[in-house]
Amino acid sequence: MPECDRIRKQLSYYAVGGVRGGAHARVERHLASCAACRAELTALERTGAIVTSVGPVPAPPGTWEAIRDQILDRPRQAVPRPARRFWRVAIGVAALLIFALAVAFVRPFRAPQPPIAVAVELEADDTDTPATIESHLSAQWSAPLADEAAVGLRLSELGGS
Amino acid sequence: MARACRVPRPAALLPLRVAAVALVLSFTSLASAESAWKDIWNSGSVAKQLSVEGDLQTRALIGQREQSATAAVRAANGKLRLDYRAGRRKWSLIDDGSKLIRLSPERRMAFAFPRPSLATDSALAQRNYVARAVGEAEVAGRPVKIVEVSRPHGPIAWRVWLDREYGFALKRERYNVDGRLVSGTEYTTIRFGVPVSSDVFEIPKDWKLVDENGGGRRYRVSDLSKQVGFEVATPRYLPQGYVLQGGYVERRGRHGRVAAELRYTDGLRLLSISQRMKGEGDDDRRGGSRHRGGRGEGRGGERGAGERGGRRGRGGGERGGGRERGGGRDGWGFGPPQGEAMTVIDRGSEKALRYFSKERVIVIVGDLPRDELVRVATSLD
Repeated sequence: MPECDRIRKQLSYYAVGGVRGGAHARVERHLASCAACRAELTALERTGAIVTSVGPVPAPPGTWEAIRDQILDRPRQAVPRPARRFWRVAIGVAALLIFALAVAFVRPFRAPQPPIAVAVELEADDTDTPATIESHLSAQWSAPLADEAAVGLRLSELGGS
Repeated sequence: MARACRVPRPAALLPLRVAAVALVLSFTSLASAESAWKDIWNSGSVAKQLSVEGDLQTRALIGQREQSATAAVRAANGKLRLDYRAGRRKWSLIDDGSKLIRLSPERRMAFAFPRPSLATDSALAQRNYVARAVGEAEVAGRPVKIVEVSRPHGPIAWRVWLDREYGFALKRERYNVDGRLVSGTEYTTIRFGVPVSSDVFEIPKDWKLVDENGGGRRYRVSDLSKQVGFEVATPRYLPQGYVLQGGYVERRGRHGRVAAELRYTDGLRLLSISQRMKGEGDDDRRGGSRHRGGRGEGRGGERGAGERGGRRGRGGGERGGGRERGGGRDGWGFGPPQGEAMTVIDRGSEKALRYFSKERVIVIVGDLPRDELVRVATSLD
């Protein structure tokens, strides 16, 4: 019967005083008219009385140590804890930032540029530069693809020794 | 029942067709590049074998000015004579196969300078440059094919017009690393196979010959150090593709000061590094220029406290600032230990960088970006 099924689901709570208010009144009314459910309640109360009469029993010696040893011997699970994952990401980001800063700031200073003056004309008192250009041009004369006529024109501009 | 033969749909064949076309194109391109290089190397050898007479026009960017001249050309047996005319100026240049000789008719003098024998490394050139035939045209009334040479993905470096019959270069254009046209020569008339007297390649008998520079003999670096009497500094940094071509001894100036010259090449372009020990008078010439803001006044102290006026490049603040900017032997090797400035002279087709280290006067000449030139200079060790 559907009513009996509903009431029996609550009987274990009812037996220990866990059902209150309207539900308690409904169970009382049903028990008054249903012998099968009263018998069920009686059985439950009897089982409870037996369990209560036994009382706490101490565990056999060595039980807790065995449990503890099993816990300690079990390999740790590979799933990283959220806190560790956060620090790994943070350290990675910091390393990237340091690298970027190093590239941006350290690199320009790696090869310092000397002061450079720019000119288009040879200086009157400079003999080394025209001499080097002259020997450079005369070497160019015999280089592949050399334009001898243009090289000769340029050599003449240097004064030809 | 026999299985029906499955015919691929046209759409499925498309990738195969594209791959086949790409393969054919790449082979064609390789063959074309190979053929262009063959034409270039051939033009060099035919110029030495052919007997030629002609006239040409030539121009070159020197500093910020373009200079031009016409010249009568005679060539035979690997020798060449150019008789130039630029306005009222006349002069001649003879390549006798071992030296370049400049004839000065006004002074009846001949100035010889070495014509170093460069080992043509065609493999090096082909590794660093790409050549391709780009078209056909006509120069001096003759059909020519046009070949362009450039660094891979770089601006054009040379354009050459080669005679279709002889392979002789009838027109040339040279561009610097920035892609700027810096020189060009074009024949206006030319005759092949004409007899040329060997006398034209001789210095006139009663003329004075000035030959101070020696023979342009090539040395290894270790031998060069022995020849010049000091340890030759070599660069730790070289621009991409450059290799050492050789070392040469140079004698320069009235005092015959000995300089060591290292020459590097990428197969077509050259880089020259000249160095000599400082001598008498060099202490008065440490960086700067009288023309550019009074170097004389600027020598206010051992470390150059004076203002360096006039044109200044990047970083060209007060003299002596170089030390604070990381100068000195520690950072720069042979770089300016006294905080002296480097001077870069842009000559158009090449740049020259000069500076005075504690012991040496160093000049570097090459067709390189300025930063590359400075990088080579600061790596000398």
